[in-house]
Amino acid sequence: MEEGGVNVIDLTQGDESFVKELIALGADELRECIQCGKCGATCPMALAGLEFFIKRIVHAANLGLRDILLEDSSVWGCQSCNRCVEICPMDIKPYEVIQAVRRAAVKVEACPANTYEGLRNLYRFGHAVFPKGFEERRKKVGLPEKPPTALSFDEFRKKYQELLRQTILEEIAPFPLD
Amino acid sequence: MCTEICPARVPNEYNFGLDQRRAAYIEYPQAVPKKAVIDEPNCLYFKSIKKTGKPACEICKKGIPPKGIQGCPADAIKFDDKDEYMNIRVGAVIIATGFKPMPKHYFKEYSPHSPDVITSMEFERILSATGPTGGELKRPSDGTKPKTIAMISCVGSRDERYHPYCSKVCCMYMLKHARILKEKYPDIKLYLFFIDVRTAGKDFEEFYVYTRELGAKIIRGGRVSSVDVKPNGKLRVRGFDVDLCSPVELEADLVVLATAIEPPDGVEELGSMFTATCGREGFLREVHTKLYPVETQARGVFIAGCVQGPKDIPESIAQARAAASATAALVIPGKIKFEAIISEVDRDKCSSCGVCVPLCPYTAIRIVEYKGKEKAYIEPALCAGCGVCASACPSRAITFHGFTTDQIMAQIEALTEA
Repeated sequence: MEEGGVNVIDLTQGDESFVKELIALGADELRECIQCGKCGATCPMALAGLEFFIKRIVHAANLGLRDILLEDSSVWGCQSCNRCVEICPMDIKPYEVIQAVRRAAVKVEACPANTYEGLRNLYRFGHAVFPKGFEERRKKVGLPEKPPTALSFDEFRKKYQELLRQTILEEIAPFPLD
Repeated sequence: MCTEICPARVPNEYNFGLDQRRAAYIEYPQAVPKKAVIDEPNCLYFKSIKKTGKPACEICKKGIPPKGIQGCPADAIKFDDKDEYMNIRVGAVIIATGFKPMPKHYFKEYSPHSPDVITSMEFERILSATGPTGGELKRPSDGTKPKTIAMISCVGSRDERYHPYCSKVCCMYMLKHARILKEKYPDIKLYLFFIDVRTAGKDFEEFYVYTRELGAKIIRGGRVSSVDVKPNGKLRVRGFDVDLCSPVELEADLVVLATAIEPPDGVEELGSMFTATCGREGFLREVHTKLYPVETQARGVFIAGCVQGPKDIPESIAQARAAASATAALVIPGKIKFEAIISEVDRDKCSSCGVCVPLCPYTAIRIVEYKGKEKAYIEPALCAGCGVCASACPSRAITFHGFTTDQIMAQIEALTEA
């Protein structure tokens, strides 16, 4: 945001290497987008009022506007409903563009704090999101303390953590993988 | 040979003054016939003859013997050759004078004084292998290779101040330029500012998508509002990107304006010479957009190409062939069918007042000698049956077949009978 309040986007910042990076990260049909806007018309993010909804993200990605995309948290609002992928007439798979931007953001630690929280939970407990303090309530209604998910099977969780350690998470995780 | 040794240099019109040609020159490499001509007003021979009566330069003819430079080996240079006008009698005429690209000086908001703001036609020449830079991409101001190029569409088109029509071909040739550039110089940054991208027709949309794939950046909803020259010599382009929902700015090395297609100079005078009329925009008008697309109001006068309106090469060729067929259909049979509803002069009644002659919109009336006197004569092949002459004739000497006074009176009587 420039001083004075008018937000003029400087296209000169556009970085072709960022476009190439996104293409390598899975947005391989990115450049074919003709900005017809069909994805924007079906995207729940757009309906929810997120500033950078799918159509704008794809265009900004195409222009190589790295800073704008990584500073804005809109990509993390994507619900992965995949409606855009189904509806896109040019078959560019807009959701893959969002994923590519997320991957690029994670590489440079440009994600909102709660995404790290989710990542840590995923590594530790096998779930990105889960309710806390459920044990008592479960006991009250006669259920086992832990639900029969990854939480109940330490052995499998260890194996799965081992698998995760062999992924890129090993390099980029901002928390210890123990 | 003469085109290389002639010492007089003038701006090359074919390259829009971006380089110089000699006074002895071949207009362009694909010229038909590909023959050298002498530009008389700029030739030193003619200049000196005019001033002193003696020729000061005959290098093209004689060469420079002390330097071992030979003159025209075919001895083809004739200084006494003159331009000639020829009178040819023909049965039909096809007007195909083409168009004129709008010059950039109208658009003050785009800094036309900067040599780095050029029109698409100039850019086309710069890209051409036979152009002013020999096909090398160079900025006109300092000869460096531009890294960022902005192209602006609809300059003068879709604009009530200049031309409200769409020039039709600009979107496609901008994409063509983008494609040539991107294929030749993949690292160049290319921004194309469109109001909207009009790529209608077979294979055109595919071309557009392919150009996008090459990495050309398309900014829509973005007729650029200004181009300013920055102190560092670069150009600041300001526009609006409807897809980003934001005003945008760009620092470019070169700005290319896709200026409008205009009717050529003097087309109105040319048209009125043939009694073919111009439309509101100054292009020659066809009789009917759908049913008579190559015919003009004047019989035997046909139009083809951009003189009728902006169009691309395939359309121009299709229209030219249609005009050629229409001409052939008119001329080849050797005889012509007249319309039944035309006017005719009863020359014995004609008083030779000449009122009808300037009134005829089709220049079908002439004064010719008849029985030793000058009388009006209506050329039936040209008469379109409008009836103006018949109503104006003070001697009632003109009969409008099908609408004679008796016939009209009978019609009125029949209508008012009840």
